[in-house]
Amino acid sequence: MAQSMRDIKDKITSTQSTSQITKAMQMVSAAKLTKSEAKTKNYHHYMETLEDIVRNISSTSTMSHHPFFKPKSEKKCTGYLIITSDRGLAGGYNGNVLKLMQHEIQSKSRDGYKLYMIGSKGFDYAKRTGLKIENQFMFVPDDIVYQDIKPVVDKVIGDYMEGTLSEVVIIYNNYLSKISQEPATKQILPLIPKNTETTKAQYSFEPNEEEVINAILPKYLEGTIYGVAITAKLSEHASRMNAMQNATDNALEIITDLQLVYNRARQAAITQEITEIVGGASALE
Amino acid sequence: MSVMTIRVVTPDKLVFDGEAERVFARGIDGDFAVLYNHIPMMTPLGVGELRIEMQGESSYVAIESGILEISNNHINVLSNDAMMAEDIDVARAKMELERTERQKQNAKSREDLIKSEMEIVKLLNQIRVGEKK
Repeated sequence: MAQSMRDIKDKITSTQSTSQITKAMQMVSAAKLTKSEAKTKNYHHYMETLEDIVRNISSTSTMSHHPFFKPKSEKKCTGYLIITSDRGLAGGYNGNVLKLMQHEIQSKSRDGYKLYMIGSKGFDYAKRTGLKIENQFMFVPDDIVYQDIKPVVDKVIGDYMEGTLSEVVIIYNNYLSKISQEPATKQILPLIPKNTETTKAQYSFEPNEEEVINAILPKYLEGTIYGVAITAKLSEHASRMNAMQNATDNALEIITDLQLVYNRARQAAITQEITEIVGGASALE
Repeated sequence: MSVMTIRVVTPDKLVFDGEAERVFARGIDGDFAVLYNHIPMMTPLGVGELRIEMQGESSYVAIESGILEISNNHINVLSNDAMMAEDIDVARAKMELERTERQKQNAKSREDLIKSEMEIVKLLNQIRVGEKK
């Protein structure tokens, strides 16, 4: 007997309780995923309307001269906005994003990029590897609202407008489906002008064109970044759900195997006992 | 009387979706009203209330800056933060206001001061609109 029966029994019990925890976490993530999906839907109302408006004004001349389309900065410096999660146990969620970030900055000189971080896992990583983060520490709550990410968005846009950055790229986990998420990059600044074939109406601007555009463009940008942030959150929940699903499956498999070993050990013990009794009895004869 | 459609959206939710005969809003240069057959227009909104009038009844929305766009008798209002008067918890907003006012007195930097002042303006607006429900 390689292992005593009691050892195996203990192992089965502990694996069972682990599987209960992972199962619960899976269910929590599934519930959060549904909630996030509803939020994404609401956000689409907003973004669609905003995109319509931007399309309608993009033909105006003030628009194409706006610094959002033409960076002020002469030297090339890319701002990376990296979206990670606050908690682990989400499979490759954070690892993938950080790997992509390392890959992106590898080819750049030390002052060719600046990093902006959302989510505490990213900050932990930066601390470990000695990377410099420009913004202050910030969490990403599960029911993320627009105001949560506003500080970092303001900082990035501010740096861009000052001329510190020549472009801004977000690195995040894109949500493809419930079972598939992959790390992706998305350039948000400078804005890429949309083709303007379908201008609905000639608008009058109050008080003037410039004021209106100055009010709309930052909103459009903030909206885009927020959209990426909630997509990332959606991926996080989906990723955690899958990781926990796998963990639960693995635990159940281990339990089945252990149960088999346990039964064999039990059977062996019984057989041995019978052999001993029979042996003892025949010795008496 | 002919009616327009109006939609108030924030990044987090669809605040209002319905019809209106008259809409009153606060632009950055002052209040204005929108009636049926208004020419296509775009204008930024300041902190203030949005009044949507339909068959003699008014709905109030507290707006924390935004954009109003109107074309073909459809109005879109985009705002970072907008709340229907019914949804505003006046008591809570008052508590927040007290807290922010304390914060303002203890503000260390100019930035903090401006931030809390903006927050106060926003909360006062919420309270004012919230009391109209």
